[in-house]
Amino acid sequence: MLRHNLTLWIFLLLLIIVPYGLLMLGEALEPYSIDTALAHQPPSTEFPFGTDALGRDMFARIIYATGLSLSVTAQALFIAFALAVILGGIAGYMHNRLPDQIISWVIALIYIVPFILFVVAVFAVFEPGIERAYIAIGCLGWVAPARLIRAEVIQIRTSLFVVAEKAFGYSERQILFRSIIPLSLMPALLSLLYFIPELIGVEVGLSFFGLGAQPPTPSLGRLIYEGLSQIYTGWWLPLIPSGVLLIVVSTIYAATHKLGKATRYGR
Amino acid sequence: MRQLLLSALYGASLLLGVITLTFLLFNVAPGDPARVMLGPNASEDAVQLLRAELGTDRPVWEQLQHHLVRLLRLDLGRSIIDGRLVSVEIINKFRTTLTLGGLALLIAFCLSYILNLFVFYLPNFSPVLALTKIGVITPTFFSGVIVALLFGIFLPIVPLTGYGSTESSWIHLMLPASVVALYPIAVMTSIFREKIQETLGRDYARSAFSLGFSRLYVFHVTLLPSVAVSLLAGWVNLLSTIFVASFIIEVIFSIPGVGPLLISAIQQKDFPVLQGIVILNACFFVLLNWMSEFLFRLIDPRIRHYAKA
Repeated sequence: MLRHNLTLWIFLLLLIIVPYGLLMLGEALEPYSIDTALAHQPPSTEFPFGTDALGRDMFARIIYATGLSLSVTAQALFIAFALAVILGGIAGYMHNRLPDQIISWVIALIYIVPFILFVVAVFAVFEPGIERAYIAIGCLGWVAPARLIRAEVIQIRTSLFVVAEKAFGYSERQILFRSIIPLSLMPALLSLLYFIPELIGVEVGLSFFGLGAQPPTPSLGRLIYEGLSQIYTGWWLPLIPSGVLLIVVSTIYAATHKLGKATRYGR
Repeated sequence: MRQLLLSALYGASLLLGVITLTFLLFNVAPGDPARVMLGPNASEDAVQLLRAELGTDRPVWEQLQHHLVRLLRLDLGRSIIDGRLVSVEIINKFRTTLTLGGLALLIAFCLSYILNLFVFYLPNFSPVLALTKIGVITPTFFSGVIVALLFGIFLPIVPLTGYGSTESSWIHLMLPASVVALYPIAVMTSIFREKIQETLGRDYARSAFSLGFSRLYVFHVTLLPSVAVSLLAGWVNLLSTIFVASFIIEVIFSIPGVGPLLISAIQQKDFPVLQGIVILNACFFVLLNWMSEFLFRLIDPRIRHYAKA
């Protein structure tokens, strides 16, 4: 059960604390201070990750960017999870009735167009920005966990203890919100955590299309994209942010995997 | 048959939804196409005239009707930047992306088949498992960056860019396509391993072994057909990933496909082109999903049977 799982709560707490810690640390290291005399310094003891074309300290920029990417990802996850629980729960409980048909149709609609293309289309029209990007991602990212919750609810709805609760005279709403949805939360949460690497990847994709964080704000995707054009002058510029991103993504993936194994819903 | 017709209708309704959504997005949105085309110095009269010509001064509902009728004639309008026909422009770029994606798919298919066979013979051979795990978490752009660095600077033996120039050939696409293929290979190998482990425990698999059939025979005749549908479903799901990865790899390796077109359309706020790309993608995936449903029935008698019952 959700409330007895200490590991899960620690994991979720870390997901909130670490990004903001990194953001503050990065801010303190002055990611925006320009000194062109120090441009294109390779990694050294003074600048562990080198400097960029404007002489900005890449270490500070990468720390800040990691914090930024992670914190907005956490926000997107929150939006997506809320939407998934509400809409997926309703669709599962109203299985094969009109609300379920409408919600399922919307889910199929969002699935038809590649995720990133939707976000690109939205931000071609509206002013881009990394916080807005993640709100849009959250508004689109609920579909996969919602599908899972729907399937889970359909399954639980027909199980014996729900029938028993009905016999005891609990109302429909009580059964839905107190028995069925809590039981389906865990698989949905896990599927969302598995989704984090992809979310961070989407940010990189958006930066490639010029729609992620706007300069001078550094985000991981922005740093990789900018570094890529300077690959011949400074190999560390694209490589180190990519490496950091890989480490972050694989850490989260491994932690989620362990969590999944600890509960019975692992992949 | 009736089922297939119904699912085709469902797909059409989804397509209509996407078209309406993109239409609303690009028309209710701020920014006047007539103003963008003529620039800030044009007189108000000229803008008004162009608006009437484009039909953007009429009510939204009427515009939508007009838009749908035009789409039925495969007319996606003209680019608001240079007036080229969007359909021609997109189809050309789409062909390049399809070639890249298709090549990647082919590479992924062949390699994951070989790896699967390998995994089947040595299910606990740890290097393969570790490699697939790494492959699953490595984002495509990262492998793209690594490969670009490796072959561009340290090991310049394979042409890195240059597809689309005069004497280009599919050789120039090999490297980018292999990069795109990495993720699908890893995912498919791990899914396949899971499915095979499941099926190996079944009675029919055990009896096939006990009847003395060779491992190769059991793999191809007993196991492969029973997991074919879930494998195919996995491939269909991966296709959209392959597509998006192709866009990004096109940007890294400067291949003139949909990816760079997308970037220029975003920068110039060329809405007809963007709209065309989204709609074409939606068409492609609706068609793909519908065909895969058809294929599932064709391949797996169990689905046909349950559908009838």
